[in-house]
Amino acid sequence: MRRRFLIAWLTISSLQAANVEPSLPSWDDADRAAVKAGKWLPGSSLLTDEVPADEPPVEKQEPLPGPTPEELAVEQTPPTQIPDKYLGAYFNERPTSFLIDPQKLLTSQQYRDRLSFLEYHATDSSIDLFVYVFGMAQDIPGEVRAEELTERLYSSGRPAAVVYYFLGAPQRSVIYLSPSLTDTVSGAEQKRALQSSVIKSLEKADSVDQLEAFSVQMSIRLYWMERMLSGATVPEAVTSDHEAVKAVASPGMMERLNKNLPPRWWLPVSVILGTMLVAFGMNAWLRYRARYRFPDFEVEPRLGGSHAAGIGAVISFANASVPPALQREQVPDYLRRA
Amino acid sequence: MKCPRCVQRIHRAAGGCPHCGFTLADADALFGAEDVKLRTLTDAAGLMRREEQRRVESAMHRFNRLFPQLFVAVHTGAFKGVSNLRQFGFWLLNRAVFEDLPVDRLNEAGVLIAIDADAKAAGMSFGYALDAFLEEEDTFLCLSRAHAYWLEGRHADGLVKAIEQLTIILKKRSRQVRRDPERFERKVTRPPQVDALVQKIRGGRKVEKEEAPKDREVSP
Repeated sequence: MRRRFLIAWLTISSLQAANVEPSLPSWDDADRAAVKAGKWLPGSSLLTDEVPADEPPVEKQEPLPGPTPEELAVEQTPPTQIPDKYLGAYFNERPTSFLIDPQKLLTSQQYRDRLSFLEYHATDSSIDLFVYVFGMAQDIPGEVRAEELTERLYSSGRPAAVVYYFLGAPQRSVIYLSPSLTDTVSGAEQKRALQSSVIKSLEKADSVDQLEAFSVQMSIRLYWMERMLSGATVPEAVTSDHEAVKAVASPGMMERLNKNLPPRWWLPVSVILGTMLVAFGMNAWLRYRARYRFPDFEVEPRLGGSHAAGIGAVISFANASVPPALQREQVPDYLRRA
Repeated sequence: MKCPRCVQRIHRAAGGCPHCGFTLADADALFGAEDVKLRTLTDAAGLMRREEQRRVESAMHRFNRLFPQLFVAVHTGAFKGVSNLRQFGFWLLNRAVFEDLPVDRLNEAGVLIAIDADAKAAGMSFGYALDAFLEEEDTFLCLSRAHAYWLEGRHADGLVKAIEQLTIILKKRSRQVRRDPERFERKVTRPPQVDALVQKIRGGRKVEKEEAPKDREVSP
């Protein structure tokens, strides 16, 4: 009961408090006198540029200094110099890895992928492939004589092909062969290998994909160099890596036949095939030799013609939409002339 | 057998068309009365390039090799819109002297394909040696094979196809005539004349009359 009374009292008192309106502002005597005298205009403070005294003055901000043209030029062009600290890793000694990237231009994952392919190539081929990765615009220092360096570093050990690959600019790539290969593989063949690899890589847009395509194609070309060393001829253009892989992987027809056909079937099969071949040849020969003759019947001349009066069909081919049967001419010529 | 001018049927050995009176003299009046020298492939209308002409020539040579008695000739020309292809074919096979043909192949054994470049029409004519073996329907079949090519302006291809079709038809006829030559001979030889039949019948009766008295003498 008490609680209900308490709630009712609180509700009524809060309603009474809400009904109380705030008091209106009242004029000071001094303000009223100033307005009447015209000294003070209500709202005049809003129409002036003067900052009210109670607000802090806004500090004028100075423009931030932009990059200078020199700075911009430096940022747009990538550095052409290989930092000195990496030169030793590149050129001092024969690398232990097939992929040389001391500048970490590739991510570790990309590096592992490319390296695994080069290692796979090394297991499959007698010519190792070493790929030195440089930046797109980097230049090999002038004091580095790449040919001499290759000769010195790769004179011993397995034959090797050394490629200086510029990431993002595969067309700048250079190839050098170890001394054991330079005598047997011509410069033209080296150039063809490099060109075909560059063409393959330029088919890709991404720089890492370009490196992948380049190394795959170069691996194929090295395979053909290897074949050439063993006496085979090198094709002018290895068009596709897939085709080359197929050519390497798929054995010849005769080899497959040898595997699939037991030796006891060889004689009957060859007899059947030989018979078919002979029959086909005989048929072709007989058809070529065939002559068709007609008996000579006595035909009396007609219409005064001593040689011919056999009148065949006449057909018009002026209209493509009408079949030949409807374009067969059966109208007498003298009617057409009229 | 039809008349080249009125396309009506005419009988064997007709000296002139019984319907319109057409003879070779009428064709001579149109095209000339003298013999003309030309090659078996004459592209007077200039419808074919040299390479295309070679293809047509090789098709013609194949035909001539398969049929040692026959030959095929092709003539293209512009006849100024006057469709005289039947008469022209008839006239040309009778008046032409083909320079590149061996002398043993006479015009009787020729098949002529004539193309009118102006009227866009083609016709086929043949000599007496083929009277028994070629029908008008056969020649229409050959021209139909070429029709699609000629519509596209591929005249050489059309000619090759027409010659190939002619080869197929004549091979078939050659095999048929080997089996049954009389069937084909009947088409071109004259039917026995009525007078001869009557004489034969009467002659038969005379024999019977002559033999009859002998029987009487024998009989008692």
